[in-house]
Amino acid sequence: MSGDLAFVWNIGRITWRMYHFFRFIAKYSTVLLFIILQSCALYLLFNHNNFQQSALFSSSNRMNGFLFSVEESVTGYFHLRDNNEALLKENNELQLENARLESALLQYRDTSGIPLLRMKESDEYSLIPGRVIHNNVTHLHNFLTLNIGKEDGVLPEMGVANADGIVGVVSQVSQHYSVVIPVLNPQIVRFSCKLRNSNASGSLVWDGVDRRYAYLEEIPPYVFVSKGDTVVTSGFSAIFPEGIMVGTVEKYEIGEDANYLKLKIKLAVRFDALSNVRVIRYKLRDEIKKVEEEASL
Amino acid sequence: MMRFINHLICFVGLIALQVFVLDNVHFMGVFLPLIYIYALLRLPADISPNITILLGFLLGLTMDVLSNTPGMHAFATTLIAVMRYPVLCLFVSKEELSNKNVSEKSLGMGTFWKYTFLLVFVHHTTLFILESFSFVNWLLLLAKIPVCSLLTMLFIFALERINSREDAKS
Repeated sequence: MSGDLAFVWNIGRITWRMYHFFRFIAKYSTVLLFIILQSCALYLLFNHNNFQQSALFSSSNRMNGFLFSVEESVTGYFHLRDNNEALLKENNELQLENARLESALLQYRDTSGIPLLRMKESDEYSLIPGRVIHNNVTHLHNFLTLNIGKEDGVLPEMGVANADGIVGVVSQVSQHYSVVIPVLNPQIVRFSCKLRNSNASGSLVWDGVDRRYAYLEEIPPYVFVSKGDTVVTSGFSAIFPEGIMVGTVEKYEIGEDANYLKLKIKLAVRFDALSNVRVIRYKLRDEIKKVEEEASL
Repeated sequence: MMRFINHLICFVGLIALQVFVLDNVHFMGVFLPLIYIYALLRLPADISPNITILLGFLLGLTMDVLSNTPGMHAFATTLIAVMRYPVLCLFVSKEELSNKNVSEKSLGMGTFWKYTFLLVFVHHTTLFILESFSFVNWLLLLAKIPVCSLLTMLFIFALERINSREDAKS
């Protein structure tokens, strides 16, 4: 009998506590909700990583890919004229190169007698053509969305370039779309670049102000630099092969601690009018990575 | 019900306007208006605070997803969603507020613009500080907050004019 009483007593006590607990929640629901939602936002903010961000919260997900490709189908017409000119220029250059190669081939045939010189894509890398469907260059953390994805062979950390020069690095990939972090993003992995004349290398960074210029830092001070020198990729990383155009030197100054030169680079690519790009698939990438990993162990 | 649909269209329309049009407009290269918070500002005053906060968070999260930023917009919009009612109470008494639309016409010119300016300023300051966390360029930050706030106010002013004219027609 006394056991039953204790049981009822306990139920009553627990109910009373629950009642107070729910009253507390009801009273402070706004504050609690606010705290929970702000924590979610901060969690997203601090767990953000350019290369491992979940596809759900980025424009590589299907919904965004669809929205941006609709946008591109409308706004794509605005740039037709510029694109045409760029394509013509590229076409001209290719024709010139073709003529040059043909003459070289003829010469080759005449002198050595070997009948065939096969032209193929370089053994080291291949190109995947794609189109920019969303271009975001007004923010500090800029990004591009491309209409090619895993199905076309794109993987994260591949380099992206167009006919003028380097554009950026692929960060996330879905089945049909991929997101590129352009040079115009201060969070970017620093690109290793070099001066073509002197082979001195440094890293390319963007200061977040003007989308036409970036800076090449960590150039040794004894290197002879003059305005208009060409800057190309150094080929030190597995992202870009050596010798892809980056830009030209606009201005040079001594760095903050006088141990290196800081060069202002006029970027070769016009980021506000990007359309056709190529993703560079470096065939030896896995091998380089494997060796580097083994070395760091 | 009509009011609900009206506000839903406003949310979707403003986000689309922001992402597809205004994000491509760059005033002097770095400044841009952030018009989407107008959807939050013009919610009715009698709506429950919990729903306001949730709507603010969803609005910000949508912007985050569409502009590839991690939680920055969500943080800033949730903050102003919480501040909205207290700020309104600063300028208008509680009795006057009940069941009233928040617009220039119903609140009066001075009150509405004080309210809008305060929230826009808080939102932009929060957002730009979060944005430049990993990368500090104080001069640019100091220039961006007032200039972008002004641009946003300008756009809200224009939208408010269009709204009030349509109210007058119907």
